[in-house]
Amino acid sequence: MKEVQLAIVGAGPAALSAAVQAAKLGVSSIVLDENPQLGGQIYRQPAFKIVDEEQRGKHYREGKQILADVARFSDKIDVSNDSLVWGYFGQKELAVLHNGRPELLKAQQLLIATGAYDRPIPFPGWTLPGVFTAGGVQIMIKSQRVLPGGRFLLAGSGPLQLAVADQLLEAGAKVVAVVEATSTMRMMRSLPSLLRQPGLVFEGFNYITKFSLHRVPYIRSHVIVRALGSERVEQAVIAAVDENWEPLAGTERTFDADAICLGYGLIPNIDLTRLCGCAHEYNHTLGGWKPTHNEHMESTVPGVFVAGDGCGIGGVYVAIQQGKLAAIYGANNLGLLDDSAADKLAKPIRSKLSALQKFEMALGELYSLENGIYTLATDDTVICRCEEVKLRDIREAIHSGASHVDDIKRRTRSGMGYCQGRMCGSSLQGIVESELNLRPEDAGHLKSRLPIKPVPITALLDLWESV
Amino acid sequence: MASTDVVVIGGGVIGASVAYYLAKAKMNVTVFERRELASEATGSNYGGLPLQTTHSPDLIRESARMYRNLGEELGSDIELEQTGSYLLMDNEDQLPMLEAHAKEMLRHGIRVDILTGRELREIDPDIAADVPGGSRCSDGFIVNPMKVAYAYAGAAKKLGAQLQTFTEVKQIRVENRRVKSVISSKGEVETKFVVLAAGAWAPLLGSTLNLRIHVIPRRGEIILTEAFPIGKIRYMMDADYLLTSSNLEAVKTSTDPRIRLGISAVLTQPKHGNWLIGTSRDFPGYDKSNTVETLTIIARRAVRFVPKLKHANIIRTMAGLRPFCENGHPIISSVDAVEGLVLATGHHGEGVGLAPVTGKLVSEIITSRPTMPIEEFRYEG
Amino acid sequence: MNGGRRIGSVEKRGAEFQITLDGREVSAYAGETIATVLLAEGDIILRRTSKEDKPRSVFCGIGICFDCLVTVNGVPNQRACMTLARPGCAVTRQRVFSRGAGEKRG
Repeated sequence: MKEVQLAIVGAGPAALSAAVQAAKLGVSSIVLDENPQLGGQIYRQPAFKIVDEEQRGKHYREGKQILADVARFSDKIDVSNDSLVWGYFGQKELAVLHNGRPELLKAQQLLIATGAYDRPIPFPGWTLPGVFTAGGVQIMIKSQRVLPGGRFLLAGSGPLQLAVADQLLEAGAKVVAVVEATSTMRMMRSLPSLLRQPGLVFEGFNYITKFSLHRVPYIRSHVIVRALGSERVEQAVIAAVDENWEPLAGTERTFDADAICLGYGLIPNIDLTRLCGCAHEYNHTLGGWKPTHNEHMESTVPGVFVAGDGCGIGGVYVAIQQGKLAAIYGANNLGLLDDSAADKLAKPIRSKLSALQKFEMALGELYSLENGIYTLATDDTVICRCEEVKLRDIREAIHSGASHVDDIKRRTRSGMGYCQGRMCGSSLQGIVESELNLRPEDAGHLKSRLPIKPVPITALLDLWESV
Repeated sequence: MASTDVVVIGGGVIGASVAYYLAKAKMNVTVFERRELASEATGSNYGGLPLQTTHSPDLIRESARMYRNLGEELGSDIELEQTGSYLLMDNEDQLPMLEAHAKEMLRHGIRVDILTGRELREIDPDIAADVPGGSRCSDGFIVNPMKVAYAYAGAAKKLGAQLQTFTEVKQIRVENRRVKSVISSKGEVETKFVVLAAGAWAPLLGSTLNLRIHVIPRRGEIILTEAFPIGKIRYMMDADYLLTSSNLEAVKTSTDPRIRLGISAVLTQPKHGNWLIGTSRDFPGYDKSNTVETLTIIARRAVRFVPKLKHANIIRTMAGLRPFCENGHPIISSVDAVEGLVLATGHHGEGVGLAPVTGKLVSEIITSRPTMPIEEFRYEG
Repeated sequence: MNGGRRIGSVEKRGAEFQITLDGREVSAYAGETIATVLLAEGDIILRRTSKEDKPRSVFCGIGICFDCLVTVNGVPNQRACMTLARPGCAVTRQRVFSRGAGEKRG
């Protein structure tokens, strides 16, 4: 079995900054990622040669820089693309599928930096072709240079959809509205805390000004309530909401659209950290369930570190600092850096992190999901996309006595499909919360078991050579 | 102090069944389950009643009979599918064993037909070309084990039973060799009877009463695939299942890692189209994690019998702990040393299959008298 | 409404080649995923669901929702958003079940 000093799962800002920091400290690492290229989501590189680099924006430039750093340390950083880490067998042994070939990898130290994904919000019509996540559309525009439609309505909460709307306009798409769930009042209340990072606030206002110049309505205190169309999206219906994001009667407005982008925040990818046996905690502001970690970015499993959005939504700059911290204490665990040297290196990183996190917390609180969003689904709305389980079935399970998300899964098949609960897990939790008045942490969670993504049986046939 | 007639410890398929039949017999029943219903062995198995591989033929026949109308009786779909069950031979040498076994089963009223390899492939061309033959039990079937547990639990509730999940039993209080009360994480409840239906965990509670319950956790791992079109043979097993499931000596002394792990192919395909591929039988204590070795061997064994599965996508794996009783029989019995205590455990690979008859027998033990001979299942201490 | 299209001029892309979508030849560019080619063609409906025969398309775009499943060179259940288009590859839409076209669930 191949053995490495530091295995890093993921290839976004946290993973890459950790790899570079580790290399600087003399630690060899392998970066394992399912995608054909490094960068994760935010630093995903364009699929094609770019002629006018300046127009690409700061994330592209930052991403390029970090990739250059990774390349500089190619003697210490082993880049393994097209590598799906699908299993964990204890003792930091990972099962990897690399270009269709199965492999077992033993890590002395492990960093899980698997990032996050867009929160799915169920509402009537959300499974229609033409409904996309805001993050997905961003990648289509930035990396694949394709528009999936012509008339876009964006609905969600937070800065991501501002950026996406801007990118859509730049690409020449028609944006019929940008719909923001939070109220102006809430925004105003947060402004003082947000002004810690004036640049980012300015960026936000810039987008909004641009929308008004392009005559794109920016509508606050509204959510999408319905997508209409027979075989694909033809119209989007929005409605005004109260502070709990519950729609107010008589306020519906309909827009002609062939594409809807949902940007209701991000959820940390925790299937691998759960599989490793790390303890998790529920933090609503940081995206929900997240692995517990200490100041060293070490999880409750010794030698398993976490960093980036995968351990709580914090954005790219937090991810970069956390990645560095994880690398420092990974090196410390490996005996390559003593405690005081590690703490000394970590000190400036921690103060940077502290400042960034204050801003991110304020942002997270401002755009924190309100439970009223889970009242959009009707009995006929599909909650589990994979198995086509409807809200009606879930309510029936709850009335039959299910009080935990895992129980609902066993009774209804919700969460038993290909995506293994990624699309329905948070909705199930929200539904249980509303129906039974439980706190999210008491509603349970879907258990994670390997493979964390589907692998063919051939991935197993040769996995254990000595048999 | 709260009081009840019967405390049932364990919310798996056995506990739920026991609760139902007791509630039906007008007893006040309280079920304590330390996690959720169907969250242990019940939630990680095939739900298969092959019949032809049973260790308790009289019990299983009665249980299978009870299953026919169970969904209707409980008012809930248990997803019973009349798939039949097939044992597939690896090589010709197994034929005498299979024929002898078929005769034995017939003696007990379970009809088993021997089929040639050609006959098997006429039924289902996806069976590997070099499988020389097998046996079919047309009366074998599959159910959804979790739905069975939920159906029993729901019907029990309707009849007044109380189901307390996330409630762990700390102590069974005995006074003058008689059950007095049960202390759980939610308080104490006075009770006349206690049914211990805690599967692989029964010995832990038993030891608090100085009772040695000879049940050991035996792990079974299962691979779950994506959905496929519904096949013709949907419930098949390795013929050497007859060996690995019961012959502990052979298992322990084998040099073949597959036999040592107790791995014999078992494949089922319920109506949703996913294949459940297993299974192993090892003794890891209370560890429910999956192991590389076991999964690899299970996969190889499955592909040996159904080559088309080679490229199937695995979407999940599971593992459960069966309550293994060395003599191969479940324990369905009152306990001389503790009046009021009834054991309903040790079902090993036939928990789901024997759930209906177990529930009925426990109810009879408590309220009247068993209507079937149960000496074989007596707790010997 | 067939609003999907590539952004900007295609000269700035990788090499052009042909793939087939349900037998129909279309252009693709090196670096594009199959999802991109389908969306650019306005072919937004990628598959129909097993239980209720409902149309589905790309949703998350990053390979975790498994809604964008298509058959590529005869191999079913490939995520269009995670699979690169390659010269000559044959993409076909999936109906109902995975392996074994057209068979309805029993």
